[in-house]
Amino acid sequence: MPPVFDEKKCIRCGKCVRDCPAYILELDKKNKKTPDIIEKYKHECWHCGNCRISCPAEAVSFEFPLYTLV
Amino acid sequence: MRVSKKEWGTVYEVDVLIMGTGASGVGAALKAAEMGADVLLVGKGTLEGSGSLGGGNDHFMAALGTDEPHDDKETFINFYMKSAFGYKREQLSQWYDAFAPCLAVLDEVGTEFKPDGRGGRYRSIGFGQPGAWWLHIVNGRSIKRNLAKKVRSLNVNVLDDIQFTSFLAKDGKFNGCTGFNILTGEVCVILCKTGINSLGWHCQRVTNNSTGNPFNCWFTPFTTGSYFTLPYAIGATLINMDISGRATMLPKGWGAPGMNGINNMGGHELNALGERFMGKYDPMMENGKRRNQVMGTQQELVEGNGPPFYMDMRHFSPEDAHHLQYVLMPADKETYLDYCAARGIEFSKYPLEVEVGELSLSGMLLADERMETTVKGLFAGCNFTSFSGAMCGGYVAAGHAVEAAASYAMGELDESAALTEKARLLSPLANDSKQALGWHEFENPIRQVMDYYAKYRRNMPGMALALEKLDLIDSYRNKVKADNLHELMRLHEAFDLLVLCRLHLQSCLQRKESGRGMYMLADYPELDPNQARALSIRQENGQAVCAWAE
Repeated sequence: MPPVFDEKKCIRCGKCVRDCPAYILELDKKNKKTPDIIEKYKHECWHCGNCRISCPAEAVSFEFPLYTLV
Repeated sequence: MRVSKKEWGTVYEVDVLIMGTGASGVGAALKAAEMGADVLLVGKGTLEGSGSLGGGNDHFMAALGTDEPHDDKETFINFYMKSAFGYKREQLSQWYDAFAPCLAVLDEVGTEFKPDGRGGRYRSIGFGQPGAWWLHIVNGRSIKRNLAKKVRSLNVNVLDDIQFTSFLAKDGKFNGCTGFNILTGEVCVILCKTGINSLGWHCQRVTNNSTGNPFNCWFTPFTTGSYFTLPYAIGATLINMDISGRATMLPKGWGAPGMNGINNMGGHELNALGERFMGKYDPMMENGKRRNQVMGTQQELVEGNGPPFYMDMRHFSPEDAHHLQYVLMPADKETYLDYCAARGIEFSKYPLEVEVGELSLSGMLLADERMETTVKGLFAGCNFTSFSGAMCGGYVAAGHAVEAAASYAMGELDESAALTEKARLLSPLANDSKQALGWHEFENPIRQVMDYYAKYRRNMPGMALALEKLDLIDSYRNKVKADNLHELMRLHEAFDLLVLCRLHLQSCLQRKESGRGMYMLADYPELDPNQARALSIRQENGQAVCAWAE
């Protein structure tokens, strides 16, 4: 359910981080290639898609966790 | 607007304060800007993605006064006067009058509506209403972005990332609010002449759906009751906290809306035995009152006729099935097609498995013809239902709030009270006790209580016991901790949730009947015509006082 970032496409602009209404994304300090989902808050994702709407590089997709598929 | 930095935080002074940046806050900002007001729009998240509209929306309800059947103002007003308590004809008249200017803005910002093939907009019937009032939105996922762009282009001050913690009032007059910045922790006091409460009437995280994740829900999970709890704390009277609870069917496992399109385009609900059962519960079948669909499905569940339950769209024309699955549903939530892909959903080929979702809570602020609440200078922006009601409701409330600002004084800063509030709201950050509870440990028991004692089937002794258990949770309020600002935000949301649930149960204990709220009472199973009235609740000397409204 939380977003998945394509590191080949992500340009690290941080717009997804800014527009996440759950505040569960961050651009990590180690200059990793994509934003991080703050692990302990990942279940607060509302899958509203704002990160994807904000992304200028089409780098965001969604994976649905098992508990939503049963 | 004036901004002054203090040692302890920032003070804003503005004529008109809009609290909440969802559809209602946007509607209010549009009207305030149109009237040239000195205005500040404040909310959690960013204006671009906040509120339920931030996830998208597929319908806008509007009677348009055309020659089509039941499309007139009188029919619209009469429908809502009959379907809910607490509305005044003049309020509904203003909602109707706001359709045209709000639709004009939606057109201006590039909202695409499904055409009717005759040069107009296609509309369908829903929720047991007499007229075809529901316009279908094709590009719903971008509405909030487009509206935000419009608002930011106007003379409106915008303050993002604020968690509200209290409303300020003196001598029964609204003076402003307090909060903190979720990213920086800076405390703010916002003073005003008048305020519009646009904090959202559809409160979530009250109960769970089958997934057990309270954030995997129908409406935005970041609205947990502040529309009600903050004004209640300063003496506002609330109504319908007992019967305005909401629920819907959800695609199984995923908290998405979309039932409006499924029902009003003719989807058939089936139980596990393959029976289309809704005729037993509503003369309009699936497209009747949503309460009847939820309670009817719940009854089938109790009788063992499900789960599973399905919505069957296989009889749709290929064009309708495609429009529903690939246009309307993703317009309502941006990630819908990802969910379909993950589960292999195809409306034209297979029935869609659905479930009775979580129960959320709602109500209204008691308001006069001008949407002014019982706290002078505070106006109700979220008393109307749906995206249309939110946007138009904010628009209407702001018109009155801007006018009233001319005759109300600016709220005065009480620095001592501000310091006390700062210490209170930040205190969980300073709690380093090893026994302290994190926000999950405080909030989850609230939902445990509500899920177990106060969901779709209940009784009076069970609700009374639930209240006692919420009292126990309340006694832990000073034993909570937050490791960072994110957790502090969730804790304040949980505080709101706790008060909201108490208000709901306190009100429910007064209503000795079944059939109006989204629940059935075993000890009072019948509808009582003598209770066809709104129930109010307000605080007096720290105690909740309920009364039947006239």
